[in-house]
Amino acid sequence: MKTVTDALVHRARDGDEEAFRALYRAVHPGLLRYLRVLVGTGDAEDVASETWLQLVRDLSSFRGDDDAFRAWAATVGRNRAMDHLRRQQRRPVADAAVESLDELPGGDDTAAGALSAISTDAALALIATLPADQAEAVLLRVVMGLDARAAGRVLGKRAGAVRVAAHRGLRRLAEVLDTARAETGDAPATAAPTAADDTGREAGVTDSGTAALKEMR
Amino acid sequence: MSTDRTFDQLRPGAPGGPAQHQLADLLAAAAAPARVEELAREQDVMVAFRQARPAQTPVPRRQSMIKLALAKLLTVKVAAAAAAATVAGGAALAATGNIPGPLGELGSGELRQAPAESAAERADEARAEAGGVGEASPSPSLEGLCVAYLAAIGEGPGEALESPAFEALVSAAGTEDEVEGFCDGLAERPGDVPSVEPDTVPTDRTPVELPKPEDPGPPGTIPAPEPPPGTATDR
Repeated sequence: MKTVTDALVHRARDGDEEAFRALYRAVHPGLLRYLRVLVGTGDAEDVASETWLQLVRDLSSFRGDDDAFRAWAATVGRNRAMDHLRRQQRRPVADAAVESLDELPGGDDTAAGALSAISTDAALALIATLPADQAEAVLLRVVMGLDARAAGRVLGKRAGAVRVAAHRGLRRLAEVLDTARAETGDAPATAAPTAADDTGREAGVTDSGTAALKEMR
Repeated sequence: MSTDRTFDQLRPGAPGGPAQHQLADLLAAAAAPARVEELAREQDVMVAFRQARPAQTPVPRRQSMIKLALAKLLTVKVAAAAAAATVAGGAALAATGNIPGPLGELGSGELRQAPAESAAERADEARAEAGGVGEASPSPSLEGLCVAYLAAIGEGPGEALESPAFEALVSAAGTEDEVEGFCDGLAERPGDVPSVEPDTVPTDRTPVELPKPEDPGPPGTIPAPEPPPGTATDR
């Protein structure tokens, strides 16, 4: 029955604590970043904790490999995030972007982020400026590491729809980056627009994206 | 659809214009390795996992060094007292007959059920324990962390220190690189029971390590039986 006995999730289900810890460390950072964009940085930790409590509780009945666990974690996390937003009676995404922009780290965060000049926070802030379906598609693919089919199951969409959304999101990100590069040197207005509603989203993409990039430099 | 190809083109080193490279950088940053603060609640989740999993055979002690260290933080005063008593010898142990139940039992050495480990590792622990024994020791919790650290070091010091559990240790030592020396210094601090009779070492020392979080018995040794506050109240 256990054809993939090496899967961390199988060992964790059997009670192997270190396997579960490894699984947590592999899945949690991406999950937390996904949730940050969904509910905002301030609440993401709490939603993530709720998510893990449910994952732990239901682990014994979970069937699947580590990839499937990742997708399951994303699904549970998204459901908990939607519950949270319903309770909060507010809309996703926008405030997270502004919040993240405000707390962009300085140069002291380089230890783990030596990959590039762009900090993780800035990258998430920029992704958060995308329309929600595009942001989620990009995050599930890039940050959670799901393939289009699995991401589609998380979102309740077909894989093709996820591909389209991710493609549009990436294209829009590229445009934002391009615009920001072209505008290098312009002092940004101090206030990044809040982009707090859907109508303001379009303007918010460029403006706060630009601000993020300026911060990145 | 081209998204998968799009993602492929964004791999580092793939050809493309500056915008393409910037986008690749951005995605890499979004998926960068975990930062310490992102794993800050790991311990809470591990506690939940321990409580949810079915009863099972004890895991090897090596796997539980970190939580062991954390349990020690909570029981450190009692443990230090017990350790001092046991090291001082049977007379002292007898004199402290009022040690609360579980620890009294532990002091008798009957519960020595930890799986056998390499002599070297045991020696490391014993050394660190010796450092924690003196009642003048300023911060026993650091010594507990040192025990965990020295035990985990076989898996690679860098990796071990990534655990949030060792943050206090790192800050006390200064930098990650200094932790080992710091712990060795603690263990070998002069004035702390330099050497004990060999026959007393194993039986007298192990009891101090026994208050494991998964032991349901001893009250006060389990760090946080409840889920973290505010996380599950609505469920």
